[in-house]
Amino acid sequence: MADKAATVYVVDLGASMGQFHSGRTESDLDFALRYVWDKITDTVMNGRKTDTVGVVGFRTDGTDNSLMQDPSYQNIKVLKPLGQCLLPDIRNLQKEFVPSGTDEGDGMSAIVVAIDLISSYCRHLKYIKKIIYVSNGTHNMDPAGFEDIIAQLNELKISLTVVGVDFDDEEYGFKEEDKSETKAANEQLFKTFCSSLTDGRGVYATCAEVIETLQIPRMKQVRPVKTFNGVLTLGDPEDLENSLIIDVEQFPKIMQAKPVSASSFAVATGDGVVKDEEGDAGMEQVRADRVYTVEEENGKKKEVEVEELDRGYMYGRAIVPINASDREITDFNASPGLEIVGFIPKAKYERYLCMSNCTQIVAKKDNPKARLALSSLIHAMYELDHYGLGRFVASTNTKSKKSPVMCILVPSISPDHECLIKTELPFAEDVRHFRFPPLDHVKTTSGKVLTQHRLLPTPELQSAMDDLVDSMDLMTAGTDDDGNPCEYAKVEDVFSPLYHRINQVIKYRAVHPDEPVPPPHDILVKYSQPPKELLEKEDFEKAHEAVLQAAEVKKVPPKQKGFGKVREQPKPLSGLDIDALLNAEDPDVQKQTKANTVSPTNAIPDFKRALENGDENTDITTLSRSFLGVIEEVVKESIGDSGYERAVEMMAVLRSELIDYDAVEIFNELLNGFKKRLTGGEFGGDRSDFWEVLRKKRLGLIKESEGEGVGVGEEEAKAFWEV
Amino acid sequence: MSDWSKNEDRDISDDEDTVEADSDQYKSTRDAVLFAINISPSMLTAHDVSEEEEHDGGEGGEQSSGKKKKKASKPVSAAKVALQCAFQVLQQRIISNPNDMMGIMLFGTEETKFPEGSSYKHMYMLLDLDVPDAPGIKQLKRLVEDEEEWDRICKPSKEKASMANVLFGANQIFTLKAPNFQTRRLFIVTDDDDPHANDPDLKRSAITRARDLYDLGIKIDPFYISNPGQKEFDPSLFFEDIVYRSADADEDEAPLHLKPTNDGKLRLKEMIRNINSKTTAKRALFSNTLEIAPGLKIGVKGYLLFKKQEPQRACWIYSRSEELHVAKLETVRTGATTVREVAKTEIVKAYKYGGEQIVFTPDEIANIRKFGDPIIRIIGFKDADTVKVDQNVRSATFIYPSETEFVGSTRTFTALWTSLRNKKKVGIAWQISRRNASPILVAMVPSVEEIKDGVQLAPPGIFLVQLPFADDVRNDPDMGGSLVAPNPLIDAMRKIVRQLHIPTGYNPDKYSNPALQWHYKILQAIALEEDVPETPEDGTVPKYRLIRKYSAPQIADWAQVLDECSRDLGVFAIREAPASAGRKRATEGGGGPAAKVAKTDSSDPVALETDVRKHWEKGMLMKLTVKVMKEFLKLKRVEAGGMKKAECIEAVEEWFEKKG
Repeated sequence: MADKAATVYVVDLGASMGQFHSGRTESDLDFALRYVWDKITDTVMNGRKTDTVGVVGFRTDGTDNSLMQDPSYQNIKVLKPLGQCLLPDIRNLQKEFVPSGTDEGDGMSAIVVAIDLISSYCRHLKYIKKIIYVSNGTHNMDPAGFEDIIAQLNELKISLTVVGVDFDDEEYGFKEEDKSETKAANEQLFKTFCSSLTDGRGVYATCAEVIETLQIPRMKQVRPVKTFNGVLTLGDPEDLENSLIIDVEQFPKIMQAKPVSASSFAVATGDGVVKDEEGDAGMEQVRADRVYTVEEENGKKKEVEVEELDRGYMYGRAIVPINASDREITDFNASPGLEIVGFIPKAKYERYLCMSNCTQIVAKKDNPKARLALSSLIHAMYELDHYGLGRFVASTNTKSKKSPVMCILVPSISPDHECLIKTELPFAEDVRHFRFPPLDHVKTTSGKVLTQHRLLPTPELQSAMDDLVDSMDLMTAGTDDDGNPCEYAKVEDVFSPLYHRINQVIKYRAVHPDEPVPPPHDILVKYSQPPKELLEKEDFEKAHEAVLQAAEVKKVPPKQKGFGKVREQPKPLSGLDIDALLNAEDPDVQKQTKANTVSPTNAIPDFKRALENGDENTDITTLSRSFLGVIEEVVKESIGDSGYERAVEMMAVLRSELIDYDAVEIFNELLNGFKKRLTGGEFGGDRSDFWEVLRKKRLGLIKESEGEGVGVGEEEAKAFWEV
Repeated sequence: MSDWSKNEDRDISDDEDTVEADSDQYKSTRDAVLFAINISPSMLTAHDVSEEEEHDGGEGGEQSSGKKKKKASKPVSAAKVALQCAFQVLQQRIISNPNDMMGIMLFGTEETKFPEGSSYKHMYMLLDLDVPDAPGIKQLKRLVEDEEEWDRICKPSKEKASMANVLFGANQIFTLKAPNFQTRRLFIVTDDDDPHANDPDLKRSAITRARDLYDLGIKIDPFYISNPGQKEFDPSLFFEDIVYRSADADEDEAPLHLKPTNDGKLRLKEMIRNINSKTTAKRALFSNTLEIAPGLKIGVKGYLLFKKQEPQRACWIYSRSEELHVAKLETVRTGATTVREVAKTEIVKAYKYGGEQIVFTPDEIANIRKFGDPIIRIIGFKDADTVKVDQNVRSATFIYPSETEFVGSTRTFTALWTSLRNKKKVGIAWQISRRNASPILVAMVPSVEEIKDGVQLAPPGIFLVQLPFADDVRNDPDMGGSLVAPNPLIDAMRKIVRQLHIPTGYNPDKYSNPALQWHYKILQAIALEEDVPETPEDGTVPKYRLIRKYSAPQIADWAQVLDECSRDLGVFAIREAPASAGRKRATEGGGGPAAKVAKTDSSDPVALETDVRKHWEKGMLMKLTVKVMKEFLKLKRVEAGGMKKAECIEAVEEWFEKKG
């Protein structure tokens, strides 16, 4: 939480740290730094001034520390004094974090320097104090004063984490072969050292282990913030004699962690890191300025100032101005509070009715009587398997204008915490009554109910699906800390992929400004697939095979093209063959089909029908040209943009039908002509705004990707939009 | 229209639930509904209305045993009901679909009034197809309320209107007024099942015109009315030749047919309910692939069935010209220092870090946010009760199978749906709902169809309930240890809970949002220049009278026990409670520290505890059934919801180890 922290990293920069060990392709230093960088960049990510960082290097080429008069503190450098770590510090440290030319310098002394840094920075103030010591332990250590250092750490309540490259760790299961005697002695020394610290403040770990844990995201701790302070009532709040009133508070329970948000910058070229608010490297912050315009009678836009405008609302198309003095006229002023409307049996509540994130209602902490009262309610509801139906009015939220909301109150009891979980319920206005046909039977148009149909599963499919569901059970697919089976993917195990992904890349880019963005950590995509172990089980394989067999799911083949193949003749509910009826008897239709024209008042149906009834002899070009003529007329006649949507609708039909009828070239040629006439001002002046509309709706030249090989390339299609 | 208010500078991730699926990217996502109501003598005949009681008694079992309101309704004609209904729909749509259009035309009227010309005989355009304006609403309101006006306009003609004209008239209105709308629907309300029985030419012509509407993507939704005492409406005579339905599995089924009650009365409420529920255009939120297991993919469509309806945002109005104008808001991106306009292509995204900005190119941002193509991939199954109510993030989405991409999707989906229900399981799935959406985990909760009075209250399908991530769960506030009510107090409260239980559960349709309705009621009054109402209706307020009637003695008992308990336990409030709070019940002034109170053991089923204890002492808990252990745990107030046997044993052991 928001406690102040002082962390000093003591980093071994000796020449031996530049060597490669245990078959790694990176030096000991780079290996160890992975851990150090992750911790430091994490701290920077939090962006808190009071989360301070210091760095001490030892076995360095030079010496720079406050105790340097003493010869035993040579080759120890304070690389960063305690303080908030910012990006320039990171850049500095990057330069400093290179193996030196020496192996001289004592780790123990470096720890003393770190203690000194902390004690003079924190003085008597309350800090979480930590030293993180990173080394490969290959140098001679001076164990003198060992006891004193332990005593000092204990006294100052500084915790020490020793992370050693290739240190042996039985628990983790790592043992380095051919270990030098010096290193073995050092490891032993640190083990003793760490275990001598009180209250578990000493931690000894091998580097490989801590690196493995790096990708487990660290969660931001948020202090619970009260969102409501008032009373819970049952009965009329005015009638104290006959009502039940409890002092309560509300806190968030579930609150979506939003990824850090980016701000926009304008930049001419390039990427990299730029300085804040100084417009460095041609970068400047982008602001969104608001411009208000009104349309005048002649269809022209006029810019107006905010001061010239009044507030108001729309009621349908009617404009309803509201005077400043009547600003609150539409507000609903209910008195704040949480009221219980009644109690609902748990079995009658559908989980999917929950509309909002959960909050929790607790009694006021310092009001024991209220706590007893609420506790009795929670337990009574719990024992009777009932939920509360509530009406909630927030206390100070001006945004919601003291509007009541309905909510469900669910008793929650754990050994050390009791509360009511509160979630909003939908109002009548929040429900969309879309109707869906039943899944388990099919009703024919004549009203007959079928239980065997291509839309219904066969008994084989059903039984195979049952087996599949059993075989993919997650209730025992996980492993708990003791290695026993447990529920897989519990809430506490699954981290927000996007949230941590963005943190990951920011941290990475801060340290590696010139490298490409790394792939997401495995743990962030772990739950995107079923657990491997599950899929390797025999019963899964069997059920899986059986479902595939019985379900016979097939991808819908791509549409057929050309005359007579495009689509089935649409039929009304009666199944009447409309086209036969029409062609046989309606002379109008026949005439029009022959003439390859469409009428302006019924252009889309005419065009579709002519194509549908056409054959190899149909002159698609003439027909399409006639249709395009109608479109052009609409654009020409349009007052302002009044006719544009209609033209767009027809253009879209022309385009998609010509794709279906394998006439891509015809469309592209026609659109070319259309563009020429449009830019030539033939459609009643400047119609470049219509061209912009077509572009937005992506109604341009048909591309190869759309026309199955026929059409223009991406580049040409893009270039076509340039006027 | 007033879309501008939504045109704020938003992050891509924010509006996941507001953007509807763009299956037809060139269409504007608006909806137009045109009512065509037949005005014939039979449609104008008044009928008795059936007394349709609310079956489930509304609020509370014991509470509701009181009285029910009985309204003696006047006889009414089908045409009148249809228009009343249209008026209601109109008012609703102003709230729910402020940008959508609606229109009403009557056919079979003596007077002809049609914008496309007088050749459309006996057709009367009552409300132009458009976003409703004040004069239009006023006129409709008057027609519904004013008998004289009604008789003047709704006078049937001697000859019928041609259905071909009705259909072609609708065609022209839609084409001109609602071009390129995503959904356009024609609601025909009629009791005439064979309008051109003796004129095959007219009939054929109408069939042609209906086909035009189909080609334009305009859907005909007929509403058949069978008159009391008459032969039942026969759709096969004419209407089944003009109504088309796509073969898509998620399409609505049969057209609506209103039949009279057995004793020859009109089902008024059913008509209103049905028309209301039909007028919401069914739009999918997304189309996606459901991967049940590797290699087993089916097609589904997602719908948002619950969405918070907020009042439309306030707008800016320019009143310095002759007419009022709504000002459009445009945002112009400018550089903060240079104050020049910045093109979209010049913009990069940067994150603040360590006092500076870490920059990424748009391509990099896209790459960072991308976790793969849209998918709903099941990673396994869990017990249904693991989806706890205290883990809700936002409203659930609903999925239903679609055959558009994969043949066989529906049967496979149904098999899964059936398995989940029978086994009381839920699917756990990794979901990327659409391109660039951030991945989430969802629980797939099956829902069972529930129909009441012809309205589908719960649809058959699967709800996707978003599960929180570890990062989304907030810490509990520190209460300084728990303070659990002693049993007598709990027992006293149990009596209250029992008295006030609502056996039917929560039905959203019964609770209208009072603040939302009030907002629009005020706006309507101002827009129509009527008197502004003074007090809002609020159906969300608890029924105080009934609560007092059914639970006052129990509440008094409980209060007394609470007083005793707090005295016994030496409990005092630390601070003065706020004036309104618990002057009587919850708090009493006084000083002294809060005492931590240990919970006293339940003395109830001693035998149960003795039995469990015996097993525990012998290390034989395995022999006990899960049910017994759960009962015991429940008694001991340990949450045992989704526990398996092993977990139960552990919990019981833990309890004994603690309590001895």
